[in-house]
Amino acid sequence: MRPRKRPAKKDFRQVTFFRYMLIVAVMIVWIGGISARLVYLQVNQHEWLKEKAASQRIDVRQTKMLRGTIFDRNERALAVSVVVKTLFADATEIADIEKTATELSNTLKLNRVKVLQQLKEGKDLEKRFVPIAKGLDEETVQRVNAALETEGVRKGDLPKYAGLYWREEQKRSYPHQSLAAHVIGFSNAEGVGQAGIEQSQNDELYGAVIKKTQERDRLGRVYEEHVSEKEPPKDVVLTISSSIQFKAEAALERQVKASQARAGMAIVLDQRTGEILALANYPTFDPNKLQSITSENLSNRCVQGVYSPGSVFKLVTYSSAFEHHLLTPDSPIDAGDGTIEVAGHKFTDSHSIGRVDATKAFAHSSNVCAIKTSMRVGRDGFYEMLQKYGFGKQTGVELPAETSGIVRNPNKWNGDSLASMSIGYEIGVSALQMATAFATIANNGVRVRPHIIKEIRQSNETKTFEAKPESEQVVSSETARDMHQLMRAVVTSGTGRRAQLNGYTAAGKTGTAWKFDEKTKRISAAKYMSTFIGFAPMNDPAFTIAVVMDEPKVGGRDGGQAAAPVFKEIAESVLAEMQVPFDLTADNVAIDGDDIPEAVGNGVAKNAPSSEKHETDKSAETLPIPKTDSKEKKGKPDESELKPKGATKPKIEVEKGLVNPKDRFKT
Amino acid sequence: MKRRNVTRVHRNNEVAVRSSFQWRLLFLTIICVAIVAAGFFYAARQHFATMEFGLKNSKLRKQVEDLEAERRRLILAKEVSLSPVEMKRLAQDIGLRELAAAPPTAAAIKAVEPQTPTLTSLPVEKPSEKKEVNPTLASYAVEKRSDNKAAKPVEAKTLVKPIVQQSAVKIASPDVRPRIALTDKRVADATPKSNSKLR
Repeated sequence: MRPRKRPAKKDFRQVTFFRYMLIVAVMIVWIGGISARLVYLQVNQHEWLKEKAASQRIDVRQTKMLRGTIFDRNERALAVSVVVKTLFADATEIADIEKTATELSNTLKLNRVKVLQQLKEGKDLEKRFVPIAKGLDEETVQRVNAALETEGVRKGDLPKYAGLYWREEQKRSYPHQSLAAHVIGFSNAEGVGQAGIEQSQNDELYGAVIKKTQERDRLGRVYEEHVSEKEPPKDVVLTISSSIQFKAEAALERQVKASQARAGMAIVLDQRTGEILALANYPTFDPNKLQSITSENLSNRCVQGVYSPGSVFKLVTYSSAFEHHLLTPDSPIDAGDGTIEVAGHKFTDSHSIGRVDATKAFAHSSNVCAIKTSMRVGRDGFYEMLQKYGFGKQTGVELPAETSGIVRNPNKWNGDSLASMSIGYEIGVSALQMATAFATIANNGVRVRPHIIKEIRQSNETKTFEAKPESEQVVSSETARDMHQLMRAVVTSGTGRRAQLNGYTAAGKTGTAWKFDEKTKRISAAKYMSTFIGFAPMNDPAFTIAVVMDEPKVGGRDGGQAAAPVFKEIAESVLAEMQVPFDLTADNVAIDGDDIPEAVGNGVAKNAPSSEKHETDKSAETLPIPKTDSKEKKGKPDESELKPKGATKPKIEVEKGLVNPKDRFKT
Repeated sequence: MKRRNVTRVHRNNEVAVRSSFQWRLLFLTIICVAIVAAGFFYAARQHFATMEFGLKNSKLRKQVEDLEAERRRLILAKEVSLSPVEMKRLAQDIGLRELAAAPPTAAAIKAVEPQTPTLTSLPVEKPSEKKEVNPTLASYAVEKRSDNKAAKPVEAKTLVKPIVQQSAVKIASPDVRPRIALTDKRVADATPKSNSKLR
């Protein structure tokens, strides 16, 4: 028997090596598979996976910074933005709509049927934003959170109720309602200013969008937050005093209602600093109720409206004459029978005052005397003074859509333009421009640019802007003091006696002008603009007040009757508030007597039916340029003009033969 | 025999060598593992601390925002309650009526006896303490013009006490904080020099 062959003894090392390699191979395959999968996930599906991870962990929220606050000069907030919250539902997350609707309606006192309908519609359309309640304050929010808290709901945010969330929004509030509405303006739902300071300072006040990137843990708690925000909004401090503003608005409203006027304007100006203490318009609006705003009450007439000032413009006429040393307050002027004809245009006074001194002529608002005075000044001198006072230019106040008024270049003036302008026609001004002119006189001839923004600052109280208005000497202090005397006489013995204050001296000027009728395109003798502008106390004025009544219908319609009482009411209350000591003495009280009627209207042009056409109409810009030479009287006044002429009509042939009367009113 | 002895000797030597090498390796491994574990532990601790700080920071940030919102809400509430319009409405609600502004005439002013002090608490000059009055326009006219018809200095004029002074002072401004009745000294202090009257 052949012996069995013993199996070959395997090499132990060989076996070990084989087994080792087998394991290595398996490991390589395994790790290789995982690696391949990882490469696939991290290369091919990198973006998708990253987004998915981020969406689970990172929450990006965009909110808007609260719009800046508007303060008055005494740090009283006039416009504030506050945080309010909106409760909304993610309808896709709500399982039991009926129950949710019931709980919401009970908590928020809402109509259950409506809420249910909203949620059902949202669920059907898979809406993730179904607003339930808007503009809720913090108190209500906390009440709702407590009422809706449900056990077992794992949410990082409140309310602890599946499918319900809060969204923060901001709401602009105007706590003083209609107070200074035309100054403050309003902003729309997007937080963009639409009028007033809200519009002009929108860039400063605008609340930039804040982007918050929040990283949350598995419970939804925020553990890391990156906030990217732009420059924070700024706060604007106005020169307005809410107290003075309230008084001005109240007085204006009363008078507008009493006289059934179409509108009214009042401006209180600190002539030393150019700060506007109050700027009132009536009718007005409540910026909290945007639906109450109409085109009629939205316009800020004080800075946007242009009108013919009438006799208040004689301030410019007389101050020009004083400045050029052509007149003194005691110089006699002959008004004759109260009519004067200039280049075929007949101007009249309300009553004949004969030969009087300049003070009385101004106090009685004589058109004839003013025209004669302007003739002495001449068109160049008069135009130069117009420009110095700032007419025809914007004052630069920080309010939108300010008008520059209408002042034509002298080479476009007609033969009677100088006469018309000297009594406040053929020129368009704003109430603020007129107030600034009077403030110039009150401030001893120094014109300070009016402004309404005191400062702009960051939330950390750092001032980024502080008003430093420029000033300019318009007329000499001597001229200003002469004008003080004239204006004082208006209140004591002239057309503005109703502006006499109790305990204080006041100075000012009345003005009554025919209005331009938009329908007929002519000036209408039935529509008046009644003005009173003045300051008090006379020797050391605390402020300048301008009051303009647009179309007063009931009672006296002169500036002295319709506007002066408003001046008086505002001035007395503000002087008391400012604790200005009384300065009225027995010698300078007003003289009793009937109201002196004021000369109204721009006269009548002979042989020219269209002469009533209002010269401040924009079409006036297209009037033919009359060829004139510079033969106007300048320098010392002609003595013959100052002589009394009794009942004879003082006819001045100005620029005789240079202007064809027939051509003057061609358009 | 000889072969076995050789092998044994050889193995003994091998074991001795291997045994010494493994202990050192084990020791190093343990150190490395300890370092790595400590690193992981430290990193985890840092991570959770960061998370904790993040959570606290987030809560504080939310608190700051809430406080800022609350501050604004309170400012608004204060302004609404102090608003003249609101005060007027509330005054009317409790039955107060607006005083009709009685138009005092110039005649009324003149009718008052100049020497008779009617309201002692008002800012009226004492006769012994005559203030310097700025030269008026009349006195200016004297300086400027030779014909001094209108020249009439008014330095020593006694102030007229208008009959409506009291009501003028009584006008309460919402801006003006509650004041004590004006004494002479307070009146003198309150006399404005310039427009510092306006805050």
